[in-house]
Amino acid sequence: MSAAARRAWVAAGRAGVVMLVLLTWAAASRLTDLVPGLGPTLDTLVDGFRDGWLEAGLAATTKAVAVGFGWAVLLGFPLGYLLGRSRVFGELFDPLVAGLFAVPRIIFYPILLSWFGVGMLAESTMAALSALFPIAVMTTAAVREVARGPLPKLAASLNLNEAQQLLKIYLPAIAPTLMVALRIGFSVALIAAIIAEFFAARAGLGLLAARAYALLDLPRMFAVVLLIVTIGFAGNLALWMAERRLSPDGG
Amino acid sequence: MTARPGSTVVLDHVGVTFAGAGTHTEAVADVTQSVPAGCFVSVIGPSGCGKSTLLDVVGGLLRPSRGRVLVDGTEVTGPRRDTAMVFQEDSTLHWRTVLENVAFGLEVARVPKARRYERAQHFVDLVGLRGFERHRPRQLSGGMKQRVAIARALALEPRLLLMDEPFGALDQQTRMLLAGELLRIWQGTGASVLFVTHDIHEAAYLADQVWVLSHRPAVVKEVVNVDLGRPRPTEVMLEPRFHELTDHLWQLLRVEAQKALAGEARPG
Amino acid sequence: MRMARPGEPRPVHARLVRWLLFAATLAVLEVCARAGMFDPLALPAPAQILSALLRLARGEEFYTDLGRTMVTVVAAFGIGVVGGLPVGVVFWKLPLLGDVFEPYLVTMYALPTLVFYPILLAVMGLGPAPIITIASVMALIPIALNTMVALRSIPPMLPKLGRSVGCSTAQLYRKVLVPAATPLAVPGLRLGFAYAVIGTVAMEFILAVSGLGFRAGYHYRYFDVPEMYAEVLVIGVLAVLFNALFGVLERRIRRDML
Repeated sequence: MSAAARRAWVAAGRAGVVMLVLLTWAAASRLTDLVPGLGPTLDTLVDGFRDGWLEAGLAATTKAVAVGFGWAVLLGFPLGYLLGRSRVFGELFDPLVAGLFAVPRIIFYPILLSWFGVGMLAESTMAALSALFPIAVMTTAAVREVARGPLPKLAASLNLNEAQQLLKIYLPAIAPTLMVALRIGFSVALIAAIIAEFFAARAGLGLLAARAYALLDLPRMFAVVLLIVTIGFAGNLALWMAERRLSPDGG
Repeated sequence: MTARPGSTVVLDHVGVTFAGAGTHTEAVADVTQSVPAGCFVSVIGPSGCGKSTLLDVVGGLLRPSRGRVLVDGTEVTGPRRDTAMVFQEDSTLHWRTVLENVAFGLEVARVPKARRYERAQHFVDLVGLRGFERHRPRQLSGGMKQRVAIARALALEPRLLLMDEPFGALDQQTRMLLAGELLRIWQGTGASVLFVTHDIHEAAYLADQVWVLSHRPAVVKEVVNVDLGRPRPTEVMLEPRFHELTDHLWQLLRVEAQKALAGEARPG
Repeated sequence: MRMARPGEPRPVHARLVRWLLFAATLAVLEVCARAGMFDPLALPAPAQILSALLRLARGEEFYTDLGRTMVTVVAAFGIGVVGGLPVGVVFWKLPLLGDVFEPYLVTMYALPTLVFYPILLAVMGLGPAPIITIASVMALIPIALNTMVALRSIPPMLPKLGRSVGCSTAQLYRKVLVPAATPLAVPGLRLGFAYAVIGTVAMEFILAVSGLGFRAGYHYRYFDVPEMYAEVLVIGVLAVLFNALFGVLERRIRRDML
């Protein structure tokens, strides 16, 4: 099979998977009242935007994710870089970071709630806390990988200062990994925000889904879930494609 | 060690064509040639000419598109128990120790454990790795890894040994050293050998005859008999006859290499 | 035997400083909390959290919660392994299929599985089933992906060698492919376990009636703040412990097989 034919098959297959999911959904909606049809769900989605309730929820979730993700990036990269570059920091805090990386961070949400109260601050802090560790851990690993290679010798032979090493050596060398970290960080921030909203929030898509479930308003619940999935999928896919483009073996 | 006679190999109009994405690449055109029992044959040719493909066919790893290969009169349809192969790339299994690597072929052939390790140990000693039995491949140099691969092949006590540029990835000194040792060990086995290389000195030093392959698609352009006698110490390389032979091989190869270059330079 | 190399951490020294830092942090928190510098409903003193922990450990409920969470995690991880390994093998064997599904797996890796919870809840009802379903899907994905990548990264030389010595298909898998892929597949198992824990605890947190995750949220709602901290602490310690266990396994396998 030629490369072009293969690409065509893969694209067709990927489209086929989406079709299959939609067909399964349609079949399920015929079989049980618990699953509303595709049509009513899309109608609800459109209505939701026209009436404004969905837009408000979307805005709240987007803000929580954006703020949390932003802080995670702003703090996670420098933290990861420092851990990777400084032996003292690495030795002292490696186990702490690796340990916190393994802990399901969502359990800190009640603590955040009791600090900040229910609202945007607790939610975005939750998103930041969740995304911070994957970003930091992956950055550290990438920096250490570079440090083991031949590049530090090159840097030393050229007499690069710390800032030059960061900008000219480490940042370009770890860029592909940083893209992976961004993608994972985004996903994790989104999940964290949604779960946080399920648990306790004043606004947001998670809250809307939980409310719709409580009222057994199934089309509304499905509409909200569809919107969340679409956001996560689109964001993830865009970052994944950017990542493939940046990776050394090309996309 | 019991020295059983080596296999007779007959290549009967062997041709290999790779079907790719809408294109067909003819790797081997038409090779009809035979390896007499116990004979050491070197195969040389310009790079990418299909030497390794030919070896894969004889080893039963690749079915020829045309023609057939007979080993001791039976057609090769898959890997044979009495044929062993050594490859250019590192083929050690990195999770096994040296001894376990050498015993691998015997293990696959379900030789009982005690006998398997006894035999493996014998060949570990033979290739000069005594003391490294419990080492892992990553602790060894490239030359030592190839010794492991050779010992693994010999442990099967093959009647036909197929070596695909086994020293290709090694430095010059290690190559010459291992070539000398290979001759010493091979003389005790009686096995027939097909040895692919791109080094004309190595080819002439080791072999009874050298097959010079043409540029792809490969045909045997000439068979050069190496009349240097056995046993053959490394000093043979200083003799005038050795130089005549290698000069001749070099001339043959140069013409083919130039054809290969011209072929590559052609657009499209 | 290992030799110290330049640049390698000196473990004992670092560990000592680390524990000192940890103890100092606790002491500062204790003093500040007692001095009334924090809202006790936001941050109780470490000693209070400890006594809450002891209180929990004396009751029965704690062990029911612990058992429920552990069983859910193990079940989800088990399903993830049993399902993920074959999926990884199939995607490796049929690279076209692997390429078709890769973007979906990579995307589902993190996100949308969790948001299906209201739907699963509607279909399966309140109980362990929706939690196990979501947690096992979360565990399955990294296991399948890592298995596929591990198998794809085996040098083609190794199966060729296997065939040249006449391995049967079973022998090829058992003696060549599985050991060659294991060191790269094990991190997938570790990640899968971590995801099983995250999925379980997160789901318990929002929809269960028992389990450690549920209990942490429950204490929050009833303003049992020291108890809430104690539950969070237990979950954290358990997660770190299991992660360390997998770390040891991974290092052993890497040492023996790489």
